[in-house]
Amino acid sequence: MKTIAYSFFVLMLFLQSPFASSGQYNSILNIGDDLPAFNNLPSISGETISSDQLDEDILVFVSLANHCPWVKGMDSDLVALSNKFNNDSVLVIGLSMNHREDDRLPAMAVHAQKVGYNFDYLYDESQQFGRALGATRTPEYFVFDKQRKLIYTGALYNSPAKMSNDGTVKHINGEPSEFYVENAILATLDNKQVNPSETRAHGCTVKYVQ
Amino acid sequence: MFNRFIRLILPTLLLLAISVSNLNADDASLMKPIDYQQWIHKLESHLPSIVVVDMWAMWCVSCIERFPEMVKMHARYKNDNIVFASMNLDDRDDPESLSAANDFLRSMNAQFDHYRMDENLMVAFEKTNLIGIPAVLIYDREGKERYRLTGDNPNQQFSEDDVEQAIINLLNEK
Repeated sequence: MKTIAYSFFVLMLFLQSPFASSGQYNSILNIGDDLPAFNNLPSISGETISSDQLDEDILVFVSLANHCPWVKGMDSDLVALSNKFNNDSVLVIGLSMNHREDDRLPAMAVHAQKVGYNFDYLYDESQQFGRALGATRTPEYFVFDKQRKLIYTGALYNSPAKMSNDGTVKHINGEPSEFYVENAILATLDNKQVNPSETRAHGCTVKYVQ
Repeated sequence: MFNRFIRLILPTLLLLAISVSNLNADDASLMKPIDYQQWIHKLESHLPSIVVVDMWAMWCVSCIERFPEMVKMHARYKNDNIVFASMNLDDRDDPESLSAANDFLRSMNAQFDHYRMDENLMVAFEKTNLIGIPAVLIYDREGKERYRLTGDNPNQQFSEDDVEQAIINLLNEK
């Protein structure tokens, strides 16, 4: 009996360890997990940014890819989101991890200029931060609170938008009616529970080097 | 009389010809529309064959890049009682993408069955329990999904070797 109880205790410890942590749609991070550290990631601004220099109350990371039609379809709403919380202690940071030429830093700067990104857009060439986030799609959002715990991950809203070759944007389910990231930020600013805390992000797949 | 024919009948005939031409173009679609429930039945209909399904879409660059490997794999294993199929996950309400997908399949000369999921795109991902594509789903001779090769884990991305090894593993099961 003691052996069974001990085995159960060990199993529970393992399940609570960081190695066992994964979310419903994320194989690496779960809600409540810590922000993975990153160091000196280059931004399109010419500066480098590390996780320990960020002091805003809420951090919103979004994985992006210039070539991805689901990113292009959402770009204007991402800019609007960043604008909306301009006067709050909320920081939006874009992240590109792919090694395609059109997803690298020079192309990132061109894309950001074109669509009006009003936030830092970092290039994670080593893909270490992207891996640590478990970011597998673009766009995919990761919201961390002041304690740098993950409070939301997934889609921007409930109707992802795709841009066609002719530049027209179409939402899958019509105009969005649930704004997951915005609601997560508002709830956290208001010291309320985030619900939902995880949704299925829809978009292109990040290509990780194996 | 002849002039009247030209003015009245000929435009009608031309319109009819264009309509028939469009109908034929639609009929020539390589991708059979199929909803999720029909897809489950379709998979069952292939028993007791091994079934390899390539989940793809035109908006997925990685899917397009790896598709030729699927065509080659089909050529290598088509005589081993393995069913290959592609399942397109473009928006069913986006004719431009569906047309481009058909053109792409023709250009690939992929000689296996092609389907497109006739569901709302987000519902299709939910029902198939997919997070992202490309994905390759492989079913054994009893119809059980034995391999789900995806990019869902950044540290365990699948390669074409993984697809082939999965096929070989199932072929070796007697």
